[in-house]
Parts: sequence; structure tokens; C-alpha cells
Amino acid sequence: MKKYISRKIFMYLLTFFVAISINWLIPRMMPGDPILNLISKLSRQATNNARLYAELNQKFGMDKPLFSQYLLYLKNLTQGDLGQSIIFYPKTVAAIVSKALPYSLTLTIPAILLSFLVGNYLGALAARKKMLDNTVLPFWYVLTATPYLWLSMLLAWLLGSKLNLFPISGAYSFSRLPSATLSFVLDYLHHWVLPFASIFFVQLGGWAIGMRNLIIYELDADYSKYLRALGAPDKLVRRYAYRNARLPQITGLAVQLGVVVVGAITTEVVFGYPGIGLILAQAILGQDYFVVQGAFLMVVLCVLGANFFIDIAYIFIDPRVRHSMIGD
Amino acid sequence: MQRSKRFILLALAALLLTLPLAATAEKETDFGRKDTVYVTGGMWSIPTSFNPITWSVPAGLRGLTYESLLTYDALSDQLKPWLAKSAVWQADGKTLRVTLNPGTTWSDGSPLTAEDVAFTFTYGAWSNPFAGYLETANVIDDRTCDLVFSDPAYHSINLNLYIWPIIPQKIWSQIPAEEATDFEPSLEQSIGSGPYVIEGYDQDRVVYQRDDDWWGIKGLERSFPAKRVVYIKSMANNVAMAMLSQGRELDMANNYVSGLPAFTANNPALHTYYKGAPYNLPDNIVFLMPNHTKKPFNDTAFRRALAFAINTDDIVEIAYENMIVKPENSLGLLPHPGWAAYNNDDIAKNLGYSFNQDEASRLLDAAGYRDTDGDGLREYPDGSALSFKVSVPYGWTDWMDALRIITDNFREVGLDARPDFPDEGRYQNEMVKGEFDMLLNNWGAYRSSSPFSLYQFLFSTYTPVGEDEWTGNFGRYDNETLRNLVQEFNRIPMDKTQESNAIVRQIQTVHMQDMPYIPLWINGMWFVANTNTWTNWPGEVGSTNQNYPSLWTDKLQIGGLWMLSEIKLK
Amino acid sequence: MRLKDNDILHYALRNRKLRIGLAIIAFFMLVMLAGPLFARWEARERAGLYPSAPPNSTNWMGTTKMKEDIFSQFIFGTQSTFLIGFLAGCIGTTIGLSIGFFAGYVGGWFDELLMMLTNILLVIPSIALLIILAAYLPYRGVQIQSVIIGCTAWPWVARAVRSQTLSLKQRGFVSLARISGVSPLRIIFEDIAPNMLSYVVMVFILQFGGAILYAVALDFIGLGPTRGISLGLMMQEAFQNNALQVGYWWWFIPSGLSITLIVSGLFFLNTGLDEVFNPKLRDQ
Repeated sequence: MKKYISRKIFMYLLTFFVAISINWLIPRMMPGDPILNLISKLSRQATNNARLYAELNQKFGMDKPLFSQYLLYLKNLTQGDLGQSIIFYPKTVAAIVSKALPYSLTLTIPAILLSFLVGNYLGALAARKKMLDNTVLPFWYVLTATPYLWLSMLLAWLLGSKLNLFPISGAYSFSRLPSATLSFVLDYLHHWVLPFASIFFVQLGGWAIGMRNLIIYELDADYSKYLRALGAPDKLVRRYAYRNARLPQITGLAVQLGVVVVGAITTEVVFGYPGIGLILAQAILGQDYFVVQGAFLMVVLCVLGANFFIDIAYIFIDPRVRHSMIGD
Repeated sequence: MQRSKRFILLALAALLLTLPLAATAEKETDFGRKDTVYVTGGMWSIPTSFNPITWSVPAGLRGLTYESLLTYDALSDQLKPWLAKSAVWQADGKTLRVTLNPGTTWSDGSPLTAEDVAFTFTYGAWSNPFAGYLETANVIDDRTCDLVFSDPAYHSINLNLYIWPIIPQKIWSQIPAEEATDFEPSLEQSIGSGPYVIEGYDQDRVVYQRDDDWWGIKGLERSFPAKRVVYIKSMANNVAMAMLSQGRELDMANNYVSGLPAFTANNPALHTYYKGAPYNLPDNIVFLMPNHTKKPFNDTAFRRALAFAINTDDIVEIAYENMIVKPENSLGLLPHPGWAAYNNDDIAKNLGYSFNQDEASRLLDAAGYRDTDGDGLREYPDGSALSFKVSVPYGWTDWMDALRIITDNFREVGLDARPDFPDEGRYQNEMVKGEFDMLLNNWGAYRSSSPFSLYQFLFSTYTPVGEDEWTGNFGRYDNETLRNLVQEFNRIPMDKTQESNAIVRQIQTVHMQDMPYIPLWINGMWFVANTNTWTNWPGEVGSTNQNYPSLWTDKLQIGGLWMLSEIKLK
Repeated sequence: MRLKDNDILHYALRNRKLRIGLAIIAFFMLVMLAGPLFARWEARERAGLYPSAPPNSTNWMGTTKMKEDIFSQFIFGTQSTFLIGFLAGCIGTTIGLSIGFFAGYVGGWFDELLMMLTNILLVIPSIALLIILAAYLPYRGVQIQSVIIGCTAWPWVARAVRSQTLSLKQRGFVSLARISGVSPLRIIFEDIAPNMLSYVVMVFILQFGGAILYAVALDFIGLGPTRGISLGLMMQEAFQNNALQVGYWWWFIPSGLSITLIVSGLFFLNTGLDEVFNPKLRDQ
């Protein structure tokens, strides 16, 4: 057990190291020169630009050989320094990410967790009731098959423009600055509904379908038959089936939670929601090495963290897995 | 299981509440609808730094918070007083005497004096527009400052008088000049002299609040009806349109909105400058830029043939749905009073071009570009295959549509031209480094007080491949005579139009004969307003608000500021 | 054997979900195959008489702002969209299944290494890969898009399959085979794989549908094919030009509706097949 866990920790640390190294490399393989982009934002007075270019190049450490840039990146990382943004110059990456992150998190985490809970519940229900299975399931299929942004646009158009029920842009009214008041909270929630709904509904169907299929398989498994043959009540059989079917679902959740940080880029674009997805879209197109690195670092941390957690949790959730891993 | 579910739900609720609770202000801040004007356009990025002396500032900062000496009425072509009562060239032709209006103050109440003016233009930041040719700035008295130029580049200086913001000496003298661009003034350090101060900002907005002690209420006898101006970051097309039609949190947009003609027809509350086509005032010219260091673009006959092949009417009618004006002639000038004296129609008639694909084919045949292998596409005179691409950044949808028309036109005359949509970063890189085939650009071809800005953009520089070109001659067109003519033009005083036009005629003659860059279409000053809350927006008829309707960065000084002061509550 | 085949066919024909799924997919197959006979223009040809015209006798599904014929775009767009889904689905399923199976079955350090690869791919955003590729390729085609989607979409398959394999491995019949000295490969292919066959079908179909949806998202943020047309590009252009707000429904609806129909058709097909092959599921 101890050996198993320490091996896991070692592998995850190794993965983390390789992943952040690749994340460092990727933006640098992108074509073009981000400093040129920056200069065009700062000044178009040709006379100064050559000098400016040299200065900025040095400032961002781009004049150094690639390998020492890499070492510098690792060194800064250990000090929690993510560097300075290029397209949002002179803001630091940490400042930009920390400003945008709360918006993304409060949007995507509830959407993913709630759709996971509700979806699994409905899926398990559908696996039991043929009636429900035949009426609601087709609806979920269609919902899951709908492209996010098409649904977002339809929602925005219908509920936002036509019926005027919900605002369709921003995280709170343009007529406000944030304040610790009830009316602000309500206003914030009002803006949150549509983007939340467009993620929630599309995700919901996926979880429900997955759960339904998995439970039906588990009900068909040897142990279920055996239990039934022994005369165990249906409810008990189902409880075991549900517990086993949760496994792959939780695996899926770990991946989804990792993606949380990047947010639902398209949803954020459609609703002008000022989260990290919107920032990342701009940073990638503007070749902002440092913002891209910073945002991806969050993804790496979240995905690996969630996966590590699930790996360990498996041992406790599924006795078979525990046996398989530690028994070897 | 039950317990864990409840825990998750509680955690979610807590998470949702953290964001608002982390907020800064304690008191209720819901701006009154009638106190606020909501605008969008020109703010493409999240607000990064409220430093007024870098190129890309949050829109509105230069104009609303920091002020220039003069403003320029881009509709009637007049310089108007703002911070300065006047700026007059002295008899020596090298000294510009700036006289400030009485009572100018900073937002903290301290006086804005000639010292600040002198400081602004001598401050050693590289962004200083007069660096290199301003000799000294002599403070004569509290209100008067003489700017002495070693090289009086009248037209450039004139442009900057109504663009460049005056900054407070007491703040900036503490910042070493070489660190000036990194300097991020806090809101307390953001002391401007303008009618609005920055109240707050977030990822997608900047809120400007009216300064009720603004010096201009007395000094300019002008006041601003809206207590707040909320600048909203440019948003997706559909959001802009929906918000405009509701008019709840958006009063005016300076964005290109596709489908606008059909949309305004059903929404009486929406207001454009012209009621029907062309809807928008002309603002800037888009040029087709061939790379002169590459074959076949180094061939004048080839470039001229290209010009004849393009159906510019299709661009206006299809790509732009008639939302822009059609060019009067092929000179590539803006139809605008400030440039009217230089609209030499005779040169356009004799040497220019018009859409005529037979002529294009004739020119290509004559120059030896013929289809020798019978595939329907022309080859080089030596028989080798000829193909090229034309670039526009991905996502500039109107330009992409226009480019599709252009490359189709080229195919119609037998040229293998492909549209290319790189991302913006690559487009700009290839442009600055001169590594493209052909591209579309309009960087410096905007409405200004003199067409000098246009010719400076196109013809004033030459950079060999391998070095970066920033001004506008991205295609590396090498013509020293033309470069000298542009410099000569710059050194003729603004009011001597006849003298300048003699030079401009020479420039235009070379331009039309050699066709280094091909003028394509004239972009509009995109402007649409909702009249439910605020009225009297600039318009063709029935408006007393005759100002250039733009709130883009550095266009507040050519009309936007005046427009905001003349809108009225419904 | 004959009897069993007939049995399956019998149930297949009677299964409503399968019939619905087949009907939808067959319809789009027909559109793809027979459509070009009726499409009178190229997808990008400015063919219509008027811009943004509603459906009429010349342009059966109307025209875009650029006077392109939406019917032609629909035909050729459906072709590319199917191609993307199929190619990417094949690639993703194959890679994900193999890695998941072997990692789960062999276990130990081998498992750790494969999972490390999987985790790394999970955290490397495919958007960034696309941008790099875009820079080195003269243009992005539909095939390139599908290869990229396929090569980046497999990790979650691998992880899910691995955990299934881990679970199956402990079940009675596998342990029995192992004790009797059967080779690991044979165990994987003869004991574990058949038990997961329905899961494999599900995975492929989900990857097929997922790839289509993923391609739409890429088209939307400007990383779609630079040449040609796809349903995602049609949707993106309709969006960019405010088709919905202005009321050009004939431009906005077909692309999104087709994608929804195709992907839900795939899901129906999947469940239907599941029920047909799995007698247990039919009789509830």
C-alpha cells in the first residue's frame, strides 16, 4: 500500500515535470515574434522601435539562449513567479489569471459538478424505469448532440434578446461596480444563469447516458446474477451496480474538472463572460508565451491533481482495484 | 453518499458567494440609467495599464481623462481650442507658441501650467512624439510655452497637437524616463485634467465618472450631461446587436456590425449617421500591398493590371452590404474636407484605374503573362508557374469577405491567387518583416488634418528585408524621390495648401503610374446608437450634434469628446 | 448459428432506437452521396442572384451574405463533417483502446508509463498544437483537422478503458484463464476484449460524435479549415454575420440542426446496437 502510493507520487511528479516542460516549449514553437506584436501596441513611431525591440527582448529574457530561458522559467516557477504578460503588458500573468480565474471557476465548477450529480441520478433512474428510458433518453441524446455554442446562441437569442429574461453579456451589469450587497449578488447570479445553463444542459445528457449504460452492464454482470440467484432484494443488487458504475464516471469527472480552468472558451466568448477562457483565446492568438504558460500551468495542476486524487480514491472505492494494484 | 452530496452543494453555494464578497466597494453602486451613457468600440483588450503615453491605452483614457492641447473637428476640418487657447507658429517658422486656456487644473485641484506642457514634450520617454526634432521648450509664463523645433515638420507636429496628452509633471518627474512605459499608475496616481476620472474597471469595462470640478466648465463653457461613461470591451457581434436593440446597457457602438442595414430597418430606435446607404462616414482607406521584393510584384505592369482587375463595387455592395461609401476616384484619398484640396481628379482620370477586366487582361498579355500550358491560369513570361496568396488576419470577417471577392477577381483574369487567413500574430510578423506575398492593410490611412499622414504611412520610409518596417511601407517599395517628396510636403506650413498640393500632385502622379500600393475601399466610421435614453446623436439630418461620431482611442480628440458633450437626455 | 443471426436481425429490425438512428444516418449518407448530383455550384461560388435571400426556386435553401448557395454548402459541408468524425473517431478509438487495454492489463511500471503519456496529453491543449501546425502547413484541410482531433481526443478513452480492464481483470473468468497459463495477449483478446465489445462500439460512436462537436468548437474560435467548407464553418459564418439576430434563419438553422441530428443519430444507433447485441437489455 505504502509502496504503491509512493510510486504513484513519484510518477505524478515526473508527469508534472514533463508536462510543464512541454508547456514551456509549445508557445515557443509557435511562429512569429511576440515582441513585435507588443511593440505595435506600444508605439508605431518607427524611429524608436529598433531600440525598443532590443530593450524588450532583453527584459523578457528572449535574447538568452533557449536553454537558459528554460532554466530561468523553472527557477521563476519555484518562486511562484509566472512572469509578465506580453499582450496585456505591463500586467503580470499572476495578476491577469487571478482576476479572471474566479469568474471561470464559479461558472464551470458548479456546472460540471451539478450536471454530474443530476446526470448520474437521472441515468440511474432511467436504467431502472423503462418508461423514463423511452421518453427522456431521446431528449438527452439530442441535448448532448447539440453543439455548445449553437445552443448558447439560441439560448441567448431566445431568453436574452427575444424574451428579455436574462442579460447576455458580462458577469454583472455594466451599471455596477462590485459591492458586498445583496442586490449585487442577485445581479451576478442573474448574469450567471445563461452561461451556466448552456454548459450544464449539454453536460447533463452525457453523464446521464453514461450512467444508464454502465448500470445496465453492471446489472448484467456475474455478481449481480449471483446476488439475484441468492435472492437478494433488487434494491441491494442495484446499489452494488451503482457503486461499480460510478468508477468510469468518476474518471470522466477528473478529466472534466481539470479542464475547468480553461473554462468553456466558446461559452465565454458567446456570452462575453470575462473568465480565463476569453483571456486564453486572446493570449494564444497574440502569442503571449507567458500568459499561455500560466494558464496551462493551472490546467496541468488541476488535471494531475484530480487524477491523482481519483487514483488514490479508487483504492478505497473499489476493492477489486485495490486488490489488483496492491496484490501484484 | 447523502452527506457528501450535501457537502458538495454547500461548497458550491460558498464558492458562488466568495466572488461578490471579495468585492471592494461596500456601498451600493447601481448607476442611474439617466446618469450613464454606455458605449463600446475601440476597446479590444482587457484594460491593462492606465498609462496615457503608450500606444494602446484603454479607450477613452486619452480624451476623457488626459487632454490634448487642441482638438480637431474632423467634420469641418478645423482645429479647436481645448487645453490651449491657441498654438501659433511664430515668424521664425520654428517656434510654436502655445497659450493655455485660463484656469486649467488637474483633477486633484492643482493648476495645470505651461510647466506641465514643457515637461510633457521634453520628457525623455521614447514615446514622446517630438523626440528628435524639438530643440527646447521655453516656459514664458504660467500660461505660455514656446516649443522650439530644430526641424519644423509642420504636418506631423499638427497631428500630435490634437492627439498627444499633457501629463502632470509632479507624478511623472518621479518616474525615470526609461521606465515610463512600464509605469502602471494606480487610480490615485491617475491624475488627469479631463472632464472624467477613472472610477473603476474590470476585465470587460472601464467606468469613467464625471469630474464636477473640471476646469472646462468655466474655461471652455462646456459640460457633459452624462455623470458616467461606461466603456465596454468589444464583444461578439451577436451580443453587440442584441444589446443595441435593447438599449438597456448600451447606447452607442463604434463596431462594425454585420447585417446592420437589415437590422436597423426593423428597429426605429437605432440611429446611424446616414439613414440609408452608406450609413457610415468614411474613416480610413484599405490598401492592397504587394511585396516589391518578390516576383511578379516588382513588375509595374503586373501591379497596374491587378488594379484594373478588382471590382471595388462588389466589395462595397456584397462584403459591406452598402455600409460604406464608394471611392470617387482611384487616388486613394478620403472624401473629407481636410483632404479635399488634394483631390486631384485629373491625375486620377489620366493615370488612375477603374474596374475593367479586359484592360487587366490586355495589360497582362502585353507584359507577357500568358496562359502557355492551357490550364486557364497565366504563367510567368518564361513559362514557369505563377501563384501567390493574399493575407488578411483570421477573424476580420468583413476583410475576409472582401478578400474573397478580390482573389476571385484575380482568378477571373487568369491569376492563381489564393486568400490566406493567418492568425493576427503571424500576419503582423510577416508584414513587419516583409515575408508576405500580398496583404491588406490600413494602419496609417486614417482621417486626419492632412493627407500627409497617408503619404507618410505609405511612402516615407524604406527598410530592406531583414530589418523591421513599422511605418507602413511593408512591401519595401524603394523610391527615393517619393520619400523626399513626402519629407518636403511635411515642411510646408499647414495653410499653404497650394504649395503643398504642387508636391502632392507629384506624389500622386508617381503613385498612379507606378501603383506600388493599390487603394481598395474606404472603411466606415462604424457608428450606431440607440435613441431610447440619449438622443441628439450626430447624424445627417435634424441633429445639432455635428461632431465626428467616434470614441476609438485618439478619435475622441477629433470629435468623440464633443459628441459626448452634446448628446441629450430623451 | 443461423438461428442466432436471424435472431439478431429480427431484433435489429424491431428496435426502435436503432431504426431511428439508422434512418437519420442513412438520410445524411444520402445527402452526402446523392447531393452532389443536385448541387449546382461550388460551396464558395457566388452563385445566387441576391445576397441573404430566403429559400427560392434557384437557391433551394437560400443564400448567404456573400451570395453563396446554402444548399451546396450544406451538401459539401456534410461530407467534410462526416469525414472529420469518421477519421478522428477511428484514430482516437484505436489509440485509446490499445493504450487503455495494455496499461490496465499489464500493470506495473508499464501501466505507469502509459498513464504518464496519457496524462501529459490530457494537459497539453490541442488548440496550441493546432496553431503550431497551422504555421508550418501551407493551409489547414479537413483531414489535418481530423488527425489532430483524433490524436488529442484519446486520453479519456484510455483512462476509462484502463479502469474497466482493471476491474474485469479481477473477475472470475480472467483469473481462471490466468491460472491455467494462457498468454496475456490471448487473455486480452479472447476474454477481456469480447466482454468489452459493446463498450468499444460505444467508445467509437462517442468519439465519432465528439470529434464532430470538437471540430465545431475549433471552427468557432478560428482554427477551422482554411480551405473548403464544413457544417461548423457554416455555423461560424452565420454567427459572425448575425444571421439569427437579423432573421436569416435559413442561414443559421441548417448547420446547427444537421450537426445535432447527425450526432444524436449516432447516439441512437449506439444504444440500439447495444440492445440488439445484449439480450439482457431488450427484455426489461
